[in-house]
Amino acid sequence: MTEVLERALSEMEFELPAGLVDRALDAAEREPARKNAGRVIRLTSRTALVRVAALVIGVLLANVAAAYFAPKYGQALADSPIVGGVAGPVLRFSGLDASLITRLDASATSSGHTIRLVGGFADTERTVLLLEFDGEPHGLPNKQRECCYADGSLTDQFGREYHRVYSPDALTATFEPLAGPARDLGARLTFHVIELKPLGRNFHAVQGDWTLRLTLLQHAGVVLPVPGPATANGITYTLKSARLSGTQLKIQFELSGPPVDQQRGLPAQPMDNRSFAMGYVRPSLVDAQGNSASVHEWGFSSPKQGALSGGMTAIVPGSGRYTLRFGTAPDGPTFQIDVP
Amino acid sequence: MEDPAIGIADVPALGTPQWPLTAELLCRVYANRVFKFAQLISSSSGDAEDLAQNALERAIRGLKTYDANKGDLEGWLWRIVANAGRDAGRIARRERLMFERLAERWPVEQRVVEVSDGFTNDELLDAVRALSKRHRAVIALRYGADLDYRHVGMALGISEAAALMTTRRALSNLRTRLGKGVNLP
Repeated sequence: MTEVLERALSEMEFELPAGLVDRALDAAEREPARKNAGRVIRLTSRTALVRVAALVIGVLLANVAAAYFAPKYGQALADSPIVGGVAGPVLRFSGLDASLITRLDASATSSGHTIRLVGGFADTERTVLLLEFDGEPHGLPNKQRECCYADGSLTDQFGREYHRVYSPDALTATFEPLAGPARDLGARLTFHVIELKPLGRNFHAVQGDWTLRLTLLQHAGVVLPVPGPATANGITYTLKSARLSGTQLKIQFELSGPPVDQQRGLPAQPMDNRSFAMGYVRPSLVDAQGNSASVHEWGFSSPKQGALSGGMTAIVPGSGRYTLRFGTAPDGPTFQIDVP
Repeated sequence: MEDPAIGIADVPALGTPQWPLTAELLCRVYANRVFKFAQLISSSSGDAEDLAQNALERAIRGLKTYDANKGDLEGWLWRIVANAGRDAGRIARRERLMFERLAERWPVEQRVVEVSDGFTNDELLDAVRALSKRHRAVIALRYGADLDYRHVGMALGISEAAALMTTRRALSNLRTRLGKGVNLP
């Protein structure tokens, strides 16, 4: 049976999209420093329209266009900021601050299911959409009750698409931070969902066409000062950055030294307290009272040579001094991080 | 340019003085495989097009850094493509890599499933896209990029044995999704 399946996989063919190679060649030549580029978007020239427009109409059009492509301008005209609060525990779980959430109310129905957009948030670290499905309030993640993951694309008014990034709550859909003109002018975003993927046994995959539109302005994230390197157990630990988005703290770090080099050649280890990962890397974060912050994810990559680089994401309950510790081995290093 | 006509067998020594490695030649030889890889690893065809373009862009920009004395072209190219996939979120990010290293310790399911020829390309593609990111990655590299297990492992930063076992596991899951389950006694 394996041969049939492997042959089918090997023989699958896909027609190369028209212009794909040319776009790649053009983009590589024109924008050598561009990173994580998306498809090249060619905007239609509006020169002809400008030429024939009368001055008064032109002013009106300019206002309309400015209000559309620059939501900050539109909001200034309307003088009606739209911020509000969404369920506190749900927000805190994802490290969001209620005072920064933009309250939204957009919904779309397809294939018998309704997706409602109830809030949004954007800062220089992430872009977040708060969703509800089929009239159920957005609760905390619950394996027994979770329905689905909304699979689709998020695009701004200039055609830039934002990639989804990991979030522990699937209904708090999280994307890359806004970029390009939308970052400065404000973003008119379109969230186009094409499939609801099941997260639990009570839901089956559904394909459909849900389009939700929203406007978000980007807030500034907070870059925190980091303490200098520390050496423990023969390993030098260096904090590369610490960034705060709401109450979500992301820390990037590096490890170097003989134990790091020695573990490179070892076979895969089970994840127990004797492993290098648990003994010398696993980060934990506690506040001044000794309460542990929730660490949503952590990990590292170990290149063939050079420092091991890693990262962690934690939710901090509030401001204050936090102690970051690496590994479960005795005498692990600690760092003090002040969260405003 | 849109219809690459050169196959791998036609250019056995790409990157040598006889066949200098240019952006155009790289695209002609590899664009189809990069796109097939992107199709298998992405959740939609639109995403696949973006990923393929991004991966080719990165490879073209990185041509100056390719040194045939330091390693083969296949390994160099597919590391770039796999990184593009990883950055786009199609492949599990580094925080999950450590778990991939444990792949060889996972038992292969004791469930054998019959698969006949009775599925279409679209059904097969849907089944691949329903796999986990880790399994999609190995299937895309093995059958989309047509890499051997050594290069699959190199692209993902795991051992050849881990790549083999993860691929077997992915095929087992794929058979389950496509076929009728038959439990052996």
